[in-house]
Amino acid sequence: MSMGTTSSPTPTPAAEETFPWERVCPFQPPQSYELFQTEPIRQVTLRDSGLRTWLVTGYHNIRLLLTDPRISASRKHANFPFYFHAPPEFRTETSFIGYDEPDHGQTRGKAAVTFTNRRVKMLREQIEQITDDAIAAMLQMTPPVDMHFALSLRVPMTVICILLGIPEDKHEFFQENGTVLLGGIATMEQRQAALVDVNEYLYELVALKEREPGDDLLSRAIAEYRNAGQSYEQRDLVNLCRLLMNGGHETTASMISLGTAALLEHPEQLALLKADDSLIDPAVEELIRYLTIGDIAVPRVALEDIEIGGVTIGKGDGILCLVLTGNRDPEVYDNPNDLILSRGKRGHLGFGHGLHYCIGADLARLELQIVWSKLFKAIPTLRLAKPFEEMGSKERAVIYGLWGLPVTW
Amino acid sequence: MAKISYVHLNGTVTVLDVPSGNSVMRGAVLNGVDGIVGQCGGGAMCGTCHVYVDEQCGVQLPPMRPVEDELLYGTASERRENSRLSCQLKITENNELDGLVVHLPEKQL
Repeated sequence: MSMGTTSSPTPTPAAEETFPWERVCPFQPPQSYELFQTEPIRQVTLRDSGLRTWLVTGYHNIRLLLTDPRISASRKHANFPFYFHAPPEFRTETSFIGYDEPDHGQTRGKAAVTFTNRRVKMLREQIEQITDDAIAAMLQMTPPVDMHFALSLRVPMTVICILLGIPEDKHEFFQENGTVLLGGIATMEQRQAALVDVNEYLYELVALKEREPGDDLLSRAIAEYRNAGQSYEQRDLVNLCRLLMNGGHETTASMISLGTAALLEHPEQLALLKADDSLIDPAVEELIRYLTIGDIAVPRVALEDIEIGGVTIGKGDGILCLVLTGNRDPEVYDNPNDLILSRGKRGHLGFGHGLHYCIGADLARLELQIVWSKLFKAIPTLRLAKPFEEMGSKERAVIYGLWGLPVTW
Repeated sequence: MAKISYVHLNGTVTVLDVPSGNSVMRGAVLNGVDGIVGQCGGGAMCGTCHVYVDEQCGVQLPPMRPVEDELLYGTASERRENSRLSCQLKITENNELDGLVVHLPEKQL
């Protein structure tokens, strides 16, 4: 069995168990999420940090809270709900994901235009070519092949590197470090070392773009700071770049691998997708809803006492908005635990909600649409190379997913 | 406080007094006006608070930032000359938006 999977068939009572809890099956919420049916907002103790934090669940509670101006995303609060041994740099060296207004808007604004729907659509041909190349290269290999590395990571990594202006020979370096920074099993020392390595390269890259600007996000951000007469530190750009880099590949890669597994494990749904090209847009939305790989990736801190759902979250308390519970909310979705591609639509919480809504949402959508449109046409006999139950899953990782996806054809 | 009129597709009108500090989007969302989603909560990121501004109402609007212009190319309903994102229309102490009339598009998602 691969590292990371220690699913237990009979979970201990959640009250004694530290959070995050494990998914028994990668397609379904942890069993203890049943507790939220009677107590949708409750406190738990976090693993490693030992902090007490609030879990906020349910579609409406989460949407309400994530647009409440009394919450903060800043990592500097003592009770910020880390559920792993976070090095001190995780509190200070963040970018807009960990900023509140006005810093959040100012920093995010430096990258925002690159990720708007219109700009993203312009990338279609390029992403199609990258996907075709990755699939062709995969077909040259002798199966079984680990598709997670051959395709799932390769496509989004290549795209984000092009957007940021990072040369191709650095892709593997970022891939490896991204797994350490966002994975569930790295030690604090490993995370710290990965951060040092990545930053060292990014400082060089920022200096290069300052000297020799190109047609990329980083160069445009530098130009924007300069044109607006705003001062900036190289550190701001390094942190921005690292955020976009990690957010831009690990997430989409996880969706491609886990989503492909979900389709292969739901052959009747896959058959519908294969038979109807127009199903791809709703299919992508439904898979994002169904899998919700960022379930535990929406942490906040209350800046004031907040009354919600009959409880009072105290000033300074940590909060985790469990977006998977919103995406499986029976008040919003009929048979929420079923995968029904045709019903997919935007409006789920898979990209979060509120001011920190995923900046790369439309890019991720397009990448997923292209990959799944092409994959099953290019390899109609694609299948898992071992039973799905034996695939290792990244339990308790910030971004959920599979450690690998061995496939054959 | 500004009086904002939201005209639904079927012609009915919801009139709200939106307090200063709020956007036209937030006024709608907090009062359950169907037809405005505001998925990103007002960050000019998602384009799901698209409205058509009634040009007859004579209200002077704030200029459009580049990111709003970009987003309006990707809205679910077609962009027209009078398209704006309602999260970018903020009610200020000076009440410049008082009397604004916005038409809700067919769809936001």
